[in-house]
Amino acid sequence: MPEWTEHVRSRLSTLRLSPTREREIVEELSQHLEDRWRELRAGGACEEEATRLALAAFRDDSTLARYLAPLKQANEAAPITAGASSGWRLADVWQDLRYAVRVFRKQRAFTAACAMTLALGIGATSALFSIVDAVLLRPLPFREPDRLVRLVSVLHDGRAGGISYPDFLDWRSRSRAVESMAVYTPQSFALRGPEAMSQVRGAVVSTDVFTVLGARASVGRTFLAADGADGAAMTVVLSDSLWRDRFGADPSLVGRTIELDHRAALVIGVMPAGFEFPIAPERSEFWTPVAVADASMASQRGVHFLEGIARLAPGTSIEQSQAELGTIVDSLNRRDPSSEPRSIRVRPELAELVADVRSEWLLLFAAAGCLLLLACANVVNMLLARAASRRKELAVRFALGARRGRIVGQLLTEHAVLGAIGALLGLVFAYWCIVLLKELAPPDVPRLAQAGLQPGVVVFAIALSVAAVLMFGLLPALHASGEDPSRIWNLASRGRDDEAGGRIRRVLAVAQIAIATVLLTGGALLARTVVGLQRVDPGFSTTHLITFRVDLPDAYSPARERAFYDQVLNRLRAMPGVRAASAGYSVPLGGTGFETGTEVEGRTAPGTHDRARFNSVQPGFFQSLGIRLVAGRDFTAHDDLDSNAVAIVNEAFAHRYFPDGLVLGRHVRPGIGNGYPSEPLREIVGVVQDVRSSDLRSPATAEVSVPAAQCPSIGNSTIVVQSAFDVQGFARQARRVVAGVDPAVPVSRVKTIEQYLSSRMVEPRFSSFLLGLFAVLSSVLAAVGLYGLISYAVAERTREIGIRLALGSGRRGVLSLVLRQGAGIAVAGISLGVIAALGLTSWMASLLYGVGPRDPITLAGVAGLLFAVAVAACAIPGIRAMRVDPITAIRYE
Amino acid sequence: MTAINSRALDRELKRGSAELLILSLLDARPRHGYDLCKLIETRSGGQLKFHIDSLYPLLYRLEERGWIKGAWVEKPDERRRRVYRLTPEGRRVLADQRRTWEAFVEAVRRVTGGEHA
Repeated sequence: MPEWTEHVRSRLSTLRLSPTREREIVEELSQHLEDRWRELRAGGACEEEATRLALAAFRDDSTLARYLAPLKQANEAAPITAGASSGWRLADVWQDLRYAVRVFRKQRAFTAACAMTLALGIGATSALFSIVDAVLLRPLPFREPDRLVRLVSVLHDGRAGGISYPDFLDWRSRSRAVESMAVYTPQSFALRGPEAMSQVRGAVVSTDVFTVLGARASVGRTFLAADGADGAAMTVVLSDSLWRDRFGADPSLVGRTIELDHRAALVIGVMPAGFEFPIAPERSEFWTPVAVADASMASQRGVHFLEGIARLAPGTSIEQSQAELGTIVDSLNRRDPSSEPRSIRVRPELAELVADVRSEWLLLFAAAGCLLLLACANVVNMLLARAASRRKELAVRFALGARRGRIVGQLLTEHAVLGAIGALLGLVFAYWCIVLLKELAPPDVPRLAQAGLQPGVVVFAIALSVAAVLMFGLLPALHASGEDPSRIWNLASRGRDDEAGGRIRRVLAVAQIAIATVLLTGGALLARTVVGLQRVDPGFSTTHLITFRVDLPDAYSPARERAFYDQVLNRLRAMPGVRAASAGYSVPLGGTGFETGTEVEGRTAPGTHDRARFNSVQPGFFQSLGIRLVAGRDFTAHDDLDSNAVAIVNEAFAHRYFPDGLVLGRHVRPGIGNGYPSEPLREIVGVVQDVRSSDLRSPATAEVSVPAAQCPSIGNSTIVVQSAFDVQGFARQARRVVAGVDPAVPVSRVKTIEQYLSSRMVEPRFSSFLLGLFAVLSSVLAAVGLYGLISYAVAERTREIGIRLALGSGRRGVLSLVLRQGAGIAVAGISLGVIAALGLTSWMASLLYGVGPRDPITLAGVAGLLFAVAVAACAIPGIRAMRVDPITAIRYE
Repeated sequence: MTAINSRALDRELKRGSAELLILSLLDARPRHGYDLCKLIETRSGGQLKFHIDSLYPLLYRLEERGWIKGAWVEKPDERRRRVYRLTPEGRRVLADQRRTWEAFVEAVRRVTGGEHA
């Protein structure tokens, strides 16, 4: 009987039948032909005849296929062959995805290690990005924020100073380059509440501030020019939160008066929720015209206490406005040669707002980026090592006809899945990092509260992971697929790495160590800064000191002011446990304090403008703070407006003007003359030790103090109490004492001197902690990378090591062989890192204290530490190599 | 009546009368492909002949439509055969097609018979 199946099968070849279905059809039709053949034979036909007639049941060769073609079963997908292209890209991707998930499921530890490493890098970078985005990059929340500029008045020595209100009025009336211009300064006011007075932070502003910002009131109105005119009644615009919290969001409040600093202020409007100006960690809760609220300061051309903001006219550049305002300021300088000449600087508002925190956060962001690079390098390393062990699989698939592009695609898909897992974990990690960073960050970072896992951050994390996938994916994929299959097979069966892969991995290890060196150097420099700052002797006692602020009503006469302080201080001194109590306008590191033009008899020519820090203090102020009197005497109760005008200077002042040491009895004229017809010439009666007044980092500058009784109405004072009280308990007592003298005087900012000190340490501590953390993580990653590389090398060379041992090489020799290999990589990495650190750390010079950005001790320490870590990382595989049994190793192949 | 040539049968296949033949034969009882082929040839007195490459695609099409259902049946000492039976859906379709066919034949008869009368 003839074989029918081939006759049928050949007619089905053009169809896309599943193999099972094709078999069935072949069987069924062959059966038919056989039945026919048997019948013909039974009817007497010879075999040949029967075969011919049976096959005549087919009309021709193509009809069967033509009739079957429209059927579903003839159009089934081709069977899946791993690595073969289905000719349809999406299907390829889906197939690759499933394959990748299967591969990772099988290698759980490997996948977890890769994903966690990646998540660490992506998480840290995304968290820092969210903060950099919120703090540094996001546009200001005002209309057309690009046109907002900060106006900075610059002193002749290049430092930024304030703006006086009369100067501002002149600038505003003359400038054409700016559309509108305003001045402001934050100021605390005593607000009368239902029960007691309390200090509320607000801002005194020029009336056009809301015009400049392009902001409108949600209830009522903002200021009109008339609200700031001479003799105008005091008006106030409230923040939404103050209006809600204190006044129950009462809409009828607009048009009524509230009591601010013991004066009636007419509420004219409420700003919308979320309106914030000036943008600062401590928000302003109301705004009131400076010309009315602070008329005496606003009327003096010499009092530079305001900050300026302006909106550029459309189409005007910063340079144009700078040129125009510069000309205006020059002409004002010429008009009034007696006052200190100034210049003006126009800067974008956003840049100026974040100027103080910019370099710190960019540094931390860069450090996080380095961590990500390191993490990627580690993952690449792991993938390269795995690629070597997967060679056999790839070789088999090449042999089965898979194309190179298809294999690269599949490896890339695997890496993309890894990247996606990393990004997902990274985002979770980032979320917690952001929470933690906001908690730990210094309080003076503007807009930090707005940082979060915003859509922008998610996009950033995804972009990072895509970039990471390309980075750690392409290299191993191209590398793994670019080889001659027969060579791969060869290498695979010998279980050996090839030269190119090994080279890439060595370069990566060197790069990792270099990056770790840079980060560790940065971290160490910041850590030394913290230590340096902690060692600074501030010049005053740092324990058992409690301070608090009192705000006297403007209406107090000099006599009443004096009586108030006498009574309060006497009552405090009488309290058990109090050793000393005094008061002064500014306490060291308290944040208040200012400089004033100061004339020194016989040392400065009249009309020159030397400046000295100015303070007005009660008797016993220096003693209470533990500031040593070096020469002369302290102020006494007799130093008042009726007696000789006196002053105490600090050592820095004495050294600067009287290098001969003869200070006492000389005269000085600070530029503040409260209580006198003009600034009096004061006799220097004492010299006190230098203290760090404004900043722990800056050495003391020349300082002049005068008796408070000879400088009345200067403003809010801080009371200093030397005792071992706990702050919370003392706050209540302090309030009781002050209320006993005048219940209308609010008490605020009850703090210990340690709190002032530690607030100065928050920023350096924070950045050194974070950079230190990144540095440690990067060192660990680099060490793990090196460990992996060396372990792999040892595993590869097991046979060689066995032969060496068999030929009589000592085990120590084997260890040193391995260590030498690791040490070579470490030295290369550390050297590169030190070179990079020398170039990069100068960038962080402004963040450092007590240590140079190229400090050799730090660099040597970091190099030594990393070298030790590297050697330790290599010692583990080294010891493994020592223990190789020569016989087993040689027999291995 | 002249023998219907294969080209004409092709058209019939397309038109669906071949479906009617198959469904009618399976209505009585399940049959395999060769059986169907022979029955059509003998019952039509040799007038209707199916080529193997027309019959089986037709069977498979009916099966995909859910009108008939094929199953492999094994008998002792015989090779297994694929046997087709009518599904309930096929039975409903057959009833429809029969009515249409009878109406058509009747219409043709009336027209052609009228000429002769």
